[in-house]
Parts: sequence; C-alpha cells; structure tokens
Amino acid sequence: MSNLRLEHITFYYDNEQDVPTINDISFSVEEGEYVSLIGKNGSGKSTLAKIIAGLIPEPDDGIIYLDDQEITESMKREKIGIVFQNPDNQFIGATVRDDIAFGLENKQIPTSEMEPIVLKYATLVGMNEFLDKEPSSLSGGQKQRVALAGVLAMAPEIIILDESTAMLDPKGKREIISLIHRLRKENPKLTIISITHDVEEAYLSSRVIVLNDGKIIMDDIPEKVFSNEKELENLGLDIPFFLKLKNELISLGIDVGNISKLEDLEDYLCR
Amino acid sequence: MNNISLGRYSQYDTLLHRMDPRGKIVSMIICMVMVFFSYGSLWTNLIVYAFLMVGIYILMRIAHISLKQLFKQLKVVWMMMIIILIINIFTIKDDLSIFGYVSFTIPGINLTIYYSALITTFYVFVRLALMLALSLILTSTTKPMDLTYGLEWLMHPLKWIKVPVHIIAMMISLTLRFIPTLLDETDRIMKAQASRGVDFQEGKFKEKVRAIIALIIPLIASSLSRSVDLAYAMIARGYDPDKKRTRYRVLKWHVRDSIGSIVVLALFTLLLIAMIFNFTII
Repeated sequence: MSNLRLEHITFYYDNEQDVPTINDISFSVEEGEYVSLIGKNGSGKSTLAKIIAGLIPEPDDGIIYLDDQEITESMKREKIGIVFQNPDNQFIGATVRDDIAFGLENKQIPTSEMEPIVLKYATLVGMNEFLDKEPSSLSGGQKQRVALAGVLAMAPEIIILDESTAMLDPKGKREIISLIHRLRKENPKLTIISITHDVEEAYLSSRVIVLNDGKIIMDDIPEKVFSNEKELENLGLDIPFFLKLKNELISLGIDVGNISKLEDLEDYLCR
Repeated sequence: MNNISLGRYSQYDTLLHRMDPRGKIVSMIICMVMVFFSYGSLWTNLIVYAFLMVGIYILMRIAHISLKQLFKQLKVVWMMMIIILIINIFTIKDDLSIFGYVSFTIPGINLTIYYSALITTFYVFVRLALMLALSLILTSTTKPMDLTYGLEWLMHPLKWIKVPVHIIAMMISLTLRFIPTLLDETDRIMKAQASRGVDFQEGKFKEKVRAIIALIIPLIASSLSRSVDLAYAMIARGYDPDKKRTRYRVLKWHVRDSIGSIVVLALFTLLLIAMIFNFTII
C-alpha cells in the first residue's frame, strides 16, 4: 500500500491567470489514512484531485511522490482510483456488470478471470442483485455504488472521492458514507482522499485539510479543525451540526464532557 | 420523450434476445435490402411486402414488441409521408395499365392523381415502417454493449485499411448507452422551460422555433459537460484508445444463430433469384 506526498504543487489553468488555482501546496497522506479536503467553491479542491489522479496536465510546478518515487502516468492509473460527483456521467457500461468490468478490460485482465472479480466487488457494494440492470433503472446512490465497485475492482491503493455524495439524496449519501467506512474496516491499508463540501462527512474522516484560494489554510484532525468556528465561517465554511449543538450546550452551562459523536450526545441528552 | 423506444433495450429472455448480435445485425441488413428491392409487378411487390410484414410481425411478437410501440415510432414520419405524397402527386404521371387513373376535380384546380403516385408513396411508407420495425427488433433485443461488440467484429476487416474500428465501436456503444440519459435530460429541460413559460405545444412557427432553441442550447451545454466528465471517468479507469483491451463479454455463436442466418439468407437468395429472372406472381 502507498503513501502519497505532494511537494510544492502549483497549477494554472491558463497562462494569463494572476493567481494560480493551486498555489504551492505540500502535504502527504499516509497509508490507510482517510483525509477530507474541504473548502468553498473555487478553492481548488477538485483541481487538486484531478492533478493527483493525473486527469489534467502536469502541474506547472512541484512533484508528486508515491512511495518516495516520483509518480508516473502508469502508477497513477494503476494505484489511484477516482469516483466523481455525477453518478450518471461515470457509468460507462450498458449494465452494472459491464460497468464494473470496464476497468478490468482496460487492465487487460483475461476474460476468464473477470467474472469472479465483477461478482466480488458487486457483492462488496451490495449491487450483486442488480448485475444486469441498466443505469436508468438505478437510483443515484446505487449508481455511485457501482462507480465505486468499478474503481475498487481495479485494486487501487488510493481512492479519491471527488464530491461523490454531492448529488445524492440523504439516503444515497448515507449509503456511500457507510460503505466507505465499511471498506476502511475491511481494508485498513486503503487510503481515501475525500473532496467534499459536506462538513458532516469530513468530520468522520481521520484528518481534514482546509483549502482556500488554492492554498492550505488548516491541516489537522477534525476536532481541531472544526474548533476554529469563526475562522471557518470567514472562509465560507460551516461546522458539523454536532459541534454546533455541543458548543451551544456548553454556552448554556451544560457540561457535556468529552462526547465526540452525535449519537452519544443524543443518548446523553435523553438520559 | 418516453415514447421513443428506438435504441432502448428491453429485458426479456426470448429466442431473439439470446441470439448472437453478429447474426442479428447481418440478418437485419439483409432484411432491409429485401425491403428496398422492387420485385417487378405491383401484385408481386404487394405479395412480397405482405409476406415480409407477416414475417417481421412474427419477429416483433417474439421480441415482445407491440404494434403500438411501432406506431409511436411512425408518428415521427407522418409529416414526411405527407410531403412525399404531395411531391408524388405532382410529379408522378405514369399510368398503370391495370388501374388507369383517377381524377379529382377540386373547384378551380383540375388535379389528376395517378394511382402510381399513391402506390409509390405507399411503397415508401411500407419500406420505412418495415425498416423501423427491423431497427426496433434489433435494438430491443440486443444490449448496446453486445451490439457494439457485434459491429466491431463485423467491421474487423476494416482494420487492414487502418480504420480505428474499436474507437468507432466505443463511440457507438457510448451513444447507445447515453440515449436514455439524454432523453431523460431532454424531458427535464422541457419541464424546467415549461415552468418558466416556454410553450412547446402551442404558438406560431416563430414561437415554436424559440421554444426549441430554449431546449437545444441547454441540452448541448449539458451534453458537452457530460462528455468531459465521461472522458475523465474513462481515463481514470485506464481507458487508452491506442492500447489493447481484453473482453468481458465474449460473443458465442450457437446453432440457433446458424439456423436463423441460413433462413434469412435462403429467403434473400430466393427473392434475389425472383427479382433477377423477373418472376411475376400475378
């Protein structure tokens, strides 16, 4: 499994830009980490995701390392998978099974070996009963699960989720988030980089990086990042509902101790 | 928009659904050629068309395609048929010895309508209807991916003259895959524009053109945005048009495919012989 390191990445979409979209960004992600990249629209989150995944030209400056080796195009394809925002636009195959197999065909996996892989990952994401379904007969959450299965089938070591829950209804969103947490439990070495607007989702990760105007503003564990409520507010970001409630209770003089989960807080209040 | 079923696969387990796409594509092309042949005399033509109609209707029933579905497709060609009829009425003046001609006298205009004009229009209509029915049978019984594999296999010889067959096949496959998505998108845009006061049903020609523009521009913009996302998704999953790919679905030719193809070919040969030797039934 891999550890990813970005050093002084700078990227301009066009030469006439005064300020780069990504401005001298450096950070590293350890194997098995679940990092959330948050920031308002235009902060450079998705651009950074595409640079890491090798979907846009090389950055104007800086180097990306994977396991201390400068990353190559083939390493990006082989070790990094990305799930995008719109579930419809990444459904390439005519049915669920064809879509999961698409990456395997590109990887030149022999035909006889594909079926068990397709079945394995369809089962993993809970779509094994929908193998012959077309995308038009699936919900947004189901399509996104198929996209995730398609990426997982390629056995990447790092998965980038580029706002992959943004277009889903609350149920679909919950499905994907719980699936990601299950995947992490089953494969603790899997690295996840989640690009998101959703602070509730970011709060569940192991580390949060806040981007603004192409620069890293904060980089810490979620509890510490979200304790800067005023600063986040100035950056156009909110804090999770749980923390808002907890802060409000504390300001009313109610001692809630070291509770760190909404469910625990609910239990505490009910008691 | 939901009326359009051409290009949509229907999930059934029929003989036609189980047949190999290569056999189906070739058979469909042969049947289309048969439909477009002229078999000599009027009656011979009518009998052959009736025969083809019955055959195609049986295939439609096997494929679970109703006549209603076909008529929905034909709605699109009504206007074209009227235009062809008008053109034929004014241009075709051949007399058919068995019928002679009929003459309608409209006050002020003495218009002579020949049977050949009506029959020629009828031929065009029948040919179009049969062609649509054949396309409907093919697309309803063949998954887009299988259709693509079939086409790619059939176009294989073109690789010798450097035609990028696999790229063409991928383009066809993606087009077929996105037909339902774009139809849904069209429906959504129409509803959104209608809620803003755009009327797609009523109004003068100029207003209708404006309404269509209000539909087409967002549809093109959204299609372009979709295509960029799709390209990213394909690259991210390792697609490289210049690289070799393995196949998840491998086409298998069965006895039923050989029988089906032989039947179509035999029929085609018979009709070809009839046509060459000018065999007239009546």
